[in-house]
Amino acid sequence: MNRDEIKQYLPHREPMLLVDEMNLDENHVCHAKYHVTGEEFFLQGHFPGEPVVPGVILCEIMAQSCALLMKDDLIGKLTFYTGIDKVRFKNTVRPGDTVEVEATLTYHRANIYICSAVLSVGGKMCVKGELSFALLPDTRNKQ
Amino acid sequence: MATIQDKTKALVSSKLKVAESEITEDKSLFNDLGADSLDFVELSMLLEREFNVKFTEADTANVKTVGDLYQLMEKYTK
Repeated sequence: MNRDEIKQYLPHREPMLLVDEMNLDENHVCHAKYHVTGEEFFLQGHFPGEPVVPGVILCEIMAQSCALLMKDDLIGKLTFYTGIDKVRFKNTVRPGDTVEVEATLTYHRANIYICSAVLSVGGKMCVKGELSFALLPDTRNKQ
Repeated sequence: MATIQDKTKALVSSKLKVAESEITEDKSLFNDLGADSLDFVELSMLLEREFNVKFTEADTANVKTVGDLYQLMEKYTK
């Protein structure tokens, strides 16, 4: 699934759409990628002369990848974080890196989803954690 | 020997960080014991794993109080 196809499911848009491609394997594991071009807004000032992708942005990349695990449930919904647990940052991500996320659904009840994710660059783990979020109705076009 | 209620109470206490003495059947998990929707989902997950059961959405949707939770556990561990 490419970026245009991803937009049919994720409600995020530029500059906060942070998944370039994804696929779901036969074990329902989401494999997602995002290429850090160096032009992203979050690199401006983080840090001058030493651009590093902020940890919260890495969490957001993982969260969007996790949301794509239940892509069919996303139609007509917005995604909201309900929790971030056991997050560990192991290595930095910099311009030119292509991050790869592996995300799995741990538990689902009602509109709450709990997932685990690992974000790597070139096979080296950069972040891992457990993310949870809620899907709420997207009322933007109904107002 | 610990009963189903004892084990359930211990898990509620651990998850919601409230003393077991505060956990009585009439207490609302949400209004009295401070659970939010994520806490309740995580508690459901813990109970399913501890007791090796799988709740239906409809059954958990009706759980509001500690007493409701005890009834749910009795139903699933018969």
